[in-house]
Amino acid sequence: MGFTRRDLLKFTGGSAAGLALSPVPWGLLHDTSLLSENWPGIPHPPRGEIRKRYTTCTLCPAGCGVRARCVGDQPVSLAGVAGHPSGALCTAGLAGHHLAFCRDRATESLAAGKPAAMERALSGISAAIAACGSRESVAILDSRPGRAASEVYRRFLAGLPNGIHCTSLDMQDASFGIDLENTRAIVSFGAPVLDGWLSPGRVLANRSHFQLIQVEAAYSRTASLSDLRVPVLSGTESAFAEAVVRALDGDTSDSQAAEVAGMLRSNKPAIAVGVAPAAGRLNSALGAFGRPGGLLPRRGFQAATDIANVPDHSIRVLLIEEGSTSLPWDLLDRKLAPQNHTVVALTPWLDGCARHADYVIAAPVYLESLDEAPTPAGSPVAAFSLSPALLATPPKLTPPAEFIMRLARDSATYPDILKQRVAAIRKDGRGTVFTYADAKSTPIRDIASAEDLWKTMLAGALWLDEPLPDRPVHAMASAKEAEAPTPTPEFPLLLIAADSPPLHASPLMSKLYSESGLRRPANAAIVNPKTGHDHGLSDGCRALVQSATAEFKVQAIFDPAVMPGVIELAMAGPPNAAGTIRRI
Amino acid sequence: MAAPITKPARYGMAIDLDRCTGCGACMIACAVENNVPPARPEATPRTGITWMRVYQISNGAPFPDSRAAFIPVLCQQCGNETPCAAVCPQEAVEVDPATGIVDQMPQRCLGCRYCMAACPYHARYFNWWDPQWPTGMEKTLNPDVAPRMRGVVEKCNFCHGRLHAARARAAAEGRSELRPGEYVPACVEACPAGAIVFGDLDDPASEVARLARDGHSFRILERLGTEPKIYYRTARPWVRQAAAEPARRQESAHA
Repeated sequence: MGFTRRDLLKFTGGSAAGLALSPVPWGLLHDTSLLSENWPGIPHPPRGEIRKRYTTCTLCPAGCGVRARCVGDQPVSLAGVAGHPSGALCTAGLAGHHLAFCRDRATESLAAGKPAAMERALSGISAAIAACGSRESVAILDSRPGRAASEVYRRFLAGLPNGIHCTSLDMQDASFGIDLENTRAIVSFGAPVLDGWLSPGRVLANRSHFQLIQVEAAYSRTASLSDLRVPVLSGTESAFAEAVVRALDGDTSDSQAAEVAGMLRSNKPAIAVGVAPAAGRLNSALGAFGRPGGLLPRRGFQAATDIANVPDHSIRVLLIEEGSTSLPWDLLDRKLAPQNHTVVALTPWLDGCARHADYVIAAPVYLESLDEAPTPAGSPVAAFSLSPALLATPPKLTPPAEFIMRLARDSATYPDILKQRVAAIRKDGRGTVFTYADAKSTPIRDIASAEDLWKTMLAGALWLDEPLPDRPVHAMASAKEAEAPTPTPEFPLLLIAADSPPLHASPLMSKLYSESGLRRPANAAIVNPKTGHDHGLSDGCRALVQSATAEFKVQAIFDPAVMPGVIELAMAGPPNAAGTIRRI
Repeated sequence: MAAPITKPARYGMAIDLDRCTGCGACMIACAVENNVPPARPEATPRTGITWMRVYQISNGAPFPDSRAAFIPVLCQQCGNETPCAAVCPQEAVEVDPATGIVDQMPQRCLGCRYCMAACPYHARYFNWWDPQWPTGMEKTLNPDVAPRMRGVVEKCNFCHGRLHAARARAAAEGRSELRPGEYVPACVEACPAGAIVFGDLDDPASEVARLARDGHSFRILERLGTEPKIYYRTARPWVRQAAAEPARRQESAHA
């Protein structure tokens, strides 16, 4: 009996079927999955001694205390410090140790877009400053006035005949402390009260104590969670504030204003925050300045000129510090001298204002160099903490203050300036020091010397001043309110800003913006479905947004919560203009 | 002398939806703690990995009466007929009797995704790609958690690495039980609003057990009888209704 072709096929088929039904394939799959766990493509977390280190977050003016879990010298996770007045960290703070690995980092200084030695950059900028005419100025755009670095800038500019220390921050907010713990109602004119305003942890810890009235056209996160939402277009906030003031006096002609006034009457004390002119007007009417539950005076406030108030075409040399780059370039360009101006970007990033700069001085990011956190936004008392570096400073990077000191031929170093500040605090002898490691507060007079205080601050600590006695304070002369755009037949809609992804952040922010849909993706235009249908759009379609000066390709997203007649744009820079949208 | 942890617990959470502002700090803290990689450019909400995912829901009212609520959804750690464990052909899902935590073992997982289909809460995620971090960022990975390979399912395990670390500390100190608050997942620690409370549901003195008994507490899809260990709290009826009957609510929203 021979072995036929049919027998071969039967044997092969039977073997295949038997093998498939045996445990062998499962075993192979199992072994393969075990093997795949150690493929070279799977990163191996580093090993090393695990320890805690402390620093202070400088990513925003909140100045939150940070407890870092480090493997060797490398932070692997960040968390807030229990008992710190600023509370827990926000999303950016939790992933702040990833910033060093972001793309678009400036790794060396550039002149005209090409790598340049520091000496060449210094001499070029010095020459530009020396060539400044009598009607021209040298300006430093300070990202956060009130620091020791700001003092370095002021001293440098004071040595020039026409130096201007300016900022893009609203100094109205920086000039007062807010007694949030005793406030029972907040009228917010567009301030993101529940989305990063002041110290987020402090605000959220007190959320149950105050009623929130959000006066804003956009359907922001804060508006969506407010106790009362008042949709008012940008540029008309002051008019609404006036209506509320009249309603507080008994005028009931404006029903929305009357409703707000009613809430304010039954929830005292109250304050207004956000768009300065409107908030200032309402705070005056509410008597919020200088009383418990209101806006409190505090020491250590340093004013800086609002860049918007600098005369147009007057700046010959503009030095822009990191963090100021959210300003639209158009605004800064308008301030520059028409010819031969020089722009210097002191920044860790190659985008933003660095794209327009003649010189880019590469700066370290958060955690890469010793820095400081001045008085947190809204803090009722002056405060100071150091932000010790947890990572080594990469070569060729220079902190902005250090660069200005070299430009000024100052022989001191930036840490020397910080030490002087700490010594001055010790000498004044006021207030307490809150240490991060044990969450204890110590009167500063119990710290033996300035050197001891310096060491304590380097290990992670916050100095808090004594409160000033309650006394009347006055609103500063504030910036003008934005003009309300007027719709036209060509541009019948209003473009307003919505929450947009941060320009520089941990890659893990993808969890919020693209992997979960919790936050709007970049270049989204959110419209009311009725507005969308009127303009021929469908939910999710590609569209073109146009205004008189710009156009953007966007993805249209329908949301019935959005105000009809407006387009909320999730992109950097507040558009606040008339515009239109069409399908592409 | 090191002592093993002998006292069993039934860990659970109470999440206050009236405090949650949807900031996403819990999501970021979770990803940092558990070495969840950033998204590939091609990732979408369907393919991205978020052990903790915050959903935004609306009261359905049009402008200007719209209001939102944010619901953090993670593995609900089902305590009865755990659906994912019941369907796994590889026994890669296990309910730990000592803690009540539903564990996922990527080494055993074949990537069949039956568990994803079975999970009523969409709280399980498949690794469509090898985990990748930007160059140099591997240095920031948590040494207590191994990154998972392509082709396996993963999910929240109440930060198991932290539980092990807390147990090791307790054992080194000669204790046979953990102190309250000694072990908390990263999301609980990170929440700036203090909206998440974690602890032993079987300990009647614990804050989480007290909140779970609260009249405003509920569990998502409670009618399925899976006995989730994640309790939610809200005083807003529409939020509670949306959580109880998400499908019907979605239908009515689109009607």
